[in-house]
Amino acid sequence: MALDSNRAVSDEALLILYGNGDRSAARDLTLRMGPLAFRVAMRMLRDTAEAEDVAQDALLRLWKIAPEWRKGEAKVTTWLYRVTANLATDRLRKRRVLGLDEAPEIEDDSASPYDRMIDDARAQALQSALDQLPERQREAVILRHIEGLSNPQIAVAMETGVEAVESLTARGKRALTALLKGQREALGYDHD
Amino acid sequence: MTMIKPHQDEDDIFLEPYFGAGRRQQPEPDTAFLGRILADAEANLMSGCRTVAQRPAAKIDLRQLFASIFGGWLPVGGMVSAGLAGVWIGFLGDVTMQSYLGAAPATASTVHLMPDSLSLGFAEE
Repeated sequence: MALDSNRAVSDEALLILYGNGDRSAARDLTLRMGPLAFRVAMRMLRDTAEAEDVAQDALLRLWKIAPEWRKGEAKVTTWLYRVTANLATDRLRKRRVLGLDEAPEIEDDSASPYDRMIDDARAQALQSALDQLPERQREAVILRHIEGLSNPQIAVAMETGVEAVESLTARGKRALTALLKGQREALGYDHD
Repeated sequence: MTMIKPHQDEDDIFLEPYFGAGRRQQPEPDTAFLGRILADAEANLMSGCRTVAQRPAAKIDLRQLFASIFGGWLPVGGMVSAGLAGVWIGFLGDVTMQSYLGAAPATASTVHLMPDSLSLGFAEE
């Protein structure tokens, strides 16, 4: 988003501009939506090549529906979360890939080497635990606690009700807690 | 640092450091991937242009065009008749026309269409 030249313009307005043939809107939407779709796909699939395929497919659909996009119909990000998550779920059903070693690692320069090590370990442990959740629970937990969507937004993205989302996230968190508690001391959680 | 909100339950409190780590270590796409996404977006724009360019031209109905210019076959028939009559008169020429005008007086006469200045009361001083 840092290179986005239309930061003041909403996603929806950009999409409508793109639908009208605006090339600069294509660039800005790519910078906004590409990482978002990739992150969700990557969290769900744990495979870079597959995540890229899914994100690319989701965005291709976005480009194609742009000319028909009507203002106020839906939030662009919610729409993209839904399409990406559905495509990723389809992939998971066909071929489940668990590649913990392929997870990209991003350095956080502001933290000490020790804190970074703890952070890395926690992130990997979380991803490993997320991989063991049922698909719907994992999707709901990722959208709520990693992507930061509200429950109503998740309900739209997952094509379900808000109560179902609350139930999915609650059960997902309970399962994650059970999975992660065994590793707590080894990851240095007590250090905080 | 872990921020605990009043409505958070035990699971939230336990998981927040993990979620925080997960948020800080978001997988990011590389530039080659973003380049492919942008290429798709631009290709999609171009394909839209091609669709417009390749849209088949509307068929021209010659009869309709003819009718719109001349007002239909009946007026055209009238115009053709008038044209042929003009050609016929041109070929027959002056001689034939004289035969039609033979009964007319040989001397020319002048007809004043406008009254002269005296009759209008503008006598010269």
